Amino acid sequence: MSALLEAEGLTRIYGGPEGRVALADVSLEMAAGEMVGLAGPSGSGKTTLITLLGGLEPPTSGRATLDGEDVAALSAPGQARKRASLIGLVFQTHNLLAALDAEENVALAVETAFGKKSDPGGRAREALAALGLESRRHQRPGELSLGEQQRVAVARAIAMRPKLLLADEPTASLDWESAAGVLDALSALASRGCAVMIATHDERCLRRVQRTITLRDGRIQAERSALPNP
Amino acid sequence: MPSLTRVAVRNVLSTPRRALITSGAVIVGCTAIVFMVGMNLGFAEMEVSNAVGLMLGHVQVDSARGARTVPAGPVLAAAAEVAEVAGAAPRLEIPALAGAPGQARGAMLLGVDAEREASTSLFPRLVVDGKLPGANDGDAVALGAPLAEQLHVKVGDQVPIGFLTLSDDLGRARLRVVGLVRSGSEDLDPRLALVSIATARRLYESPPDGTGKVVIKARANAETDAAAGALRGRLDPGVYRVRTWREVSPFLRGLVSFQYGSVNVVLVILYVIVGLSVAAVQVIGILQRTREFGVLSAIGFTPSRVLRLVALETLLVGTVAVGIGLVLGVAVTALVNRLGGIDVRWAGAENLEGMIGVDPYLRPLVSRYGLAMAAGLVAPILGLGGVLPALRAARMIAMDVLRY
Repeated sequence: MSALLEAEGLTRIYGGPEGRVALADVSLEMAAGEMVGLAGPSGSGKTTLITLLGGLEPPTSGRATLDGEDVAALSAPGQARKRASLIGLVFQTHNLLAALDAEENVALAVETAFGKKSDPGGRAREALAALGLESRRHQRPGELSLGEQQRVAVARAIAMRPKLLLADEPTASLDWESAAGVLDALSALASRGCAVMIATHDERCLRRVQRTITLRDGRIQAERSALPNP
Repeated sequence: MPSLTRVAVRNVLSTPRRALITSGAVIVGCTAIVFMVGMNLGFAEMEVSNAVGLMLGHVQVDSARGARTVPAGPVLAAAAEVAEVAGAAPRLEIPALAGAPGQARGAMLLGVDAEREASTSLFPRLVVDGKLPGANDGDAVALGAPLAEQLHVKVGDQVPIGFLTLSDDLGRARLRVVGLVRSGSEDLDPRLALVSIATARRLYESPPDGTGKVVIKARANAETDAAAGALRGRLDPGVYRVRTWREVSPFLRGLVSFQYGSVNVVLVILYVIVGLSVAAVQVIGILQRTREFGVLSAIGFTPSRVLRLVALETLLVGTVAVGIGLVLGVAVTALVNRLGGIDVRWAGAENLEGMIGVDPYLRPLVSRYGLAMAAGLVAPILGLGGVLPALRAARMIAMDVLRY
């Protein structure tokens, strides 16, 4: 299987050359449709790796490419739309706009990336329906449970039809039933060819991925296949 | 799908507390600036009105060649044609001594036209006993109350007057006291002796239409220059000299200018306080939205689009709030004006008692300058206070969102 995402020697140092090394010489590959877990204790570099792979900031050194395109180039402010069309991001929480309802939250992202002619409303309704949120689409985030909010965030990522989806602790604030719903949605996205990376502490999540990369002190400590189900 | 404008409207409406706090700062700031600028203008207006109301007038017309008298008729006729002129009165000032030999006091025999002074000066309001000498009161005089006390005369008594005529001869007359006047001025009251302009002309042996000067009252202080200009255009410059109160009294001009500038210093402090308050409220409001801007950035909003969103929201809140602030400022200013103004004696100006003709009420004035200052100061600060932190937030915090 050819690699969709390739990272080589990714390093991120905060505070200049003598500063704190958040990520050191990380290399990895991900294929289209692959679901990868990112494990490790707090401060091990999981979020920093997500940040670099998501093109939200450039690495201090090293390089990552997505489908042959340099991800660092997507860090430039003017590349925000293109980045959003290629890479979906799901955060732990607080990732919806409070003033907009669920459908508008999803549609705004689609419109931002693809324009008004891309039928943002239709794609939003389709994505929300896929996550069982059709009846909740006119609710604002404050009227949704945490699990529903997270599913809306996933729906937003799905509606973008990204090549790579990066999720940072997407189930950390959810009960297991809600978390399972979110993971089901991410699995469905992966089955449609999207590479999905999930940074998590939750072993139940890691049992749902095909491969787990463990970070410690900014370096890859281990890489293993999926954990067996208990 | 909401457009950017609709998202901006939603953001404003869905966070009423934030919008109210920002609007409140803007409204209070604009209202305060409009009112305070109005107070400053009202203060200058009051000061000028008080200063020119009695002796000075807004405009004075006298001889261009330094002659002691000039014909009054052409000046009064010209003044009647000028819309900006509210009143014009001839005056003839004669150096004099009042009182019996051995008791005489230096006096200023001032010929006035009581009827014309009613629309021109505050002289009619100075009468504390009796009346001003009228056109038919031949040898009548109204004395300053302190002068009458010094001479031991009262209304109905006779008082001998010695004076210089136009030809510098010494003249004598016995005048009947018909009234007592008091302006509150320790400089004027002990030497003031008012006679009718006709009596003054006769005593002074001036031409029948002669006058030392014609004092003009403009409809408003602001119309002083217009009134003077119109009179200059109608009078022979070889005969008549037309001067505004600023030219007649450079000291008063300097005093008004100094006090106007002093109050402006206070206004600048107010501008700074209002500016900092509005900026602080706006900056805090925007910084509290760091996470929101991070989400927008993460879903593809470029920094410029985040800025456009903030600018739209600021425009919405700012337009409404500045509008309300200006309207409220005008309303408060006009209301205080209509209610008669603020009695400055309450605020420490206690020595105005007995100063006849000195208006102790400070009436703020609505002005385009005040409106422009309020909108011109608050709107840019509101804009910068929103856009600058939003720009910083949009550039920095997409990754920060991931960290929470």
